[in-house]
Amino acid sequence: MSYLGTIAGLIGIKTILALSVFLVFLTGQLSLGQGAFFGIGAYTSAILTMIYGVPFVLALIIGGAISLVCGIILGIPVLRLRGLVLAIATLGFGQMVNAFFLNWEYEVKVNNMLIGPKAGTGFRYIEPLTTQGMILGWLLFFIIFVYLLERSRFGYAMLSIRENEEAAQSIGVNVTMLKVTSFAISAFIAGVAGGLYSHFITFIHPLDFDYRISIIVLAYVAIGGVESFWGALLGTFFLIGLAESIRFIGEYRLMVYGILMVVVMIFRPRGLIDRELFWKFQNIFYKHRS
Amino acid sequence: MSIIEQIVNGILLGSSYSLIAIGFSVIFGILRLFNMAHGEVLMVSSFMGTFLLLLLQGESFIFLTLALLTAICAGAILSILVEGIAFRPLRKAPEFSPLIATLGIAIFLEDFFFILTKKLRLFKATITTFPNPLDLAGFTIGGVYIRSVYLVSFLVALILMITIHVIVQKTKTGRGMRALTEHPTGARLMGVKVDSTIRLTFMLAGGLAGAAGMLLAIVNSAFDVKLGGMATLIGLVVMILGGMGSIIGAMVGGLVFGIIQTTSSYFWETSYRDIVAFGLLFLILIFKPEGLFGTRQ
Repeated sequence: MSYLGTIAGLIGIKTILALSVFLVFLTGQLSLGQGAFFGIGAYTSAILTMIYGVPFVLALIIGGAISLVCGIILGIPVLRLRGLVLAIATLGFGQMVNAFFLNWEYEVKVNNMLIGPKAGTGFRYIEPLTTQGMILGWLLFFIIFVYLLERSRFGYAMLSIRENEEAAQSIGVNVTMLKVTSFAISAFIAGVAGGLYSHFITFIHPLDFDYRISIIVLAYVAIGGVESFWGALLGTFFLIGLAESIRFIGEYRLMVYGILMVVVMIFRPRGLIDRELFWKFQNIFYKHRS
Repeated sequence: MSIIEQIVNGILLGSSYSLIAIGFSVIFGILRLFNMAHGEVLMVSSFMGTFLLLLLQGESFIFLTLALLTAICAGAILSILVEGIAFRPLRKAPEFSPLIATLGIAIFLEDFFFILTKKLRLFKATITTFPNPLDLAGFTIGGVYIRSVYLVSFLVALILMITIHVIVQKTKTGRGMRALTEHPTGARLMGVKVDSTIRLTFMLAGGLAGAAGMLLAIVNSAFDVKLGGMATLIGLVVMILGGMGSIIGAMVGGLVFGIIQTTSSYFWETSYRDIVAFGLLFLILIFKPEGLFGTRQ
């Protein structure tokens, strides 16, 4: 696969992951454990296709579903917590899952070859089943899904929780149910992204899924702007484009992201594209049309 | 190794964790925010101290003390910088903004020092060795073997903890800190200098982190860039275990966490240690979110 093709694929996968972070944020929660769901999807789907010969699309969906179940199991006890403490709990969950992958060995003989995750050495020889078209397809599907969700009754209820949890509860919004739902859907999306990733890169290692990936993806969304869907999307494109287009930055990528996170938070604590900017654009657009 | 030996080692090692968690706890107490760059402050000060030791290249207790003092100063200065960059301008921002900004500082520092230590000849283990007169020394009490370096780090940590306790409980600034923790608006109205108290809190927290970083480097006879991320996670777990904002909780929590870590590697493989640690974090958050010494809010 060409260099540009690989880059394009990775941008797509990371954008899907960024959407999953944004979805959690719709209810005002901050997840630092998306890397874990990403990893659960990656490992599950790779095991299913390589060891049990499950068709790829089905394996992707099962990987996402197992991730979703983990999201619910994590979500129900943890979502009683609020704000920053919740973020720390998801961080702890991510590290726990990561420590599990670092110890987990499940090798099975398939066609005279030992295949499967092998603790610290990772999971090798995964068939390259993901194509860029497939990534684009899933990406568009999730973009449309999140776009519609944000504008549905569910979406408005989620937003009301973000703005004021007590007020939302008092007008009859089922806060816990919606929080767990958004968490679970986000885990599903991250799981599918993981499945796409493992069959794209063909080699996965537990450290691909530790807290770093969670923070990097959070950086995309936070810098772009957490308040609108476009912020999350454009932030991801902008940052990955920046890191990949200028080779000099490539080596110092994390340092540049780190500086950007600090600078953007100081000058625009709600991200580059916040709600006021978004509304301004929308007004210009509507005036222009009428 | 017997189980008693593991428990003793856990207590001795856990004192360093206490130092990290106290820093987290005083900052959380005063601002109700997490400083995710705290572990990297520890890493950078540990780097500074180790740098001095490697430059001096001599096995002597004076050099070790000098390195420890350097690390404490470096930690205090860096911590004040972190406050000025990521907390002060964001006083009125949503609560997740400082979290993201400090995460930004953390990944910047980690990557910067990762590249720096790869480029510096001084930090190649094949070229220079960590001069440590305590490395192999040890003694036996009642059948329990104790490494001298563990005991020394425990004593240093203990002295620092007593110092911080006296500062917080007996001095005027300490009273200001406690007042701000209890009731920010009330404290402001009663004439507590908010800005300088917050700066002083960060200075103390950073100094403790610097000491902990150098003690951990001396115990392991090596500097490790990954120390920062690990320290942030351990500091958070210990602070939540002890009760958020409670200094006594952080002290006891560190020792308890040290015991849990060493005894769990006695019963299971060492590599499962992290699962036990974070599993514990989880159980506390779910069943006893106020921790051992915290108060329910």
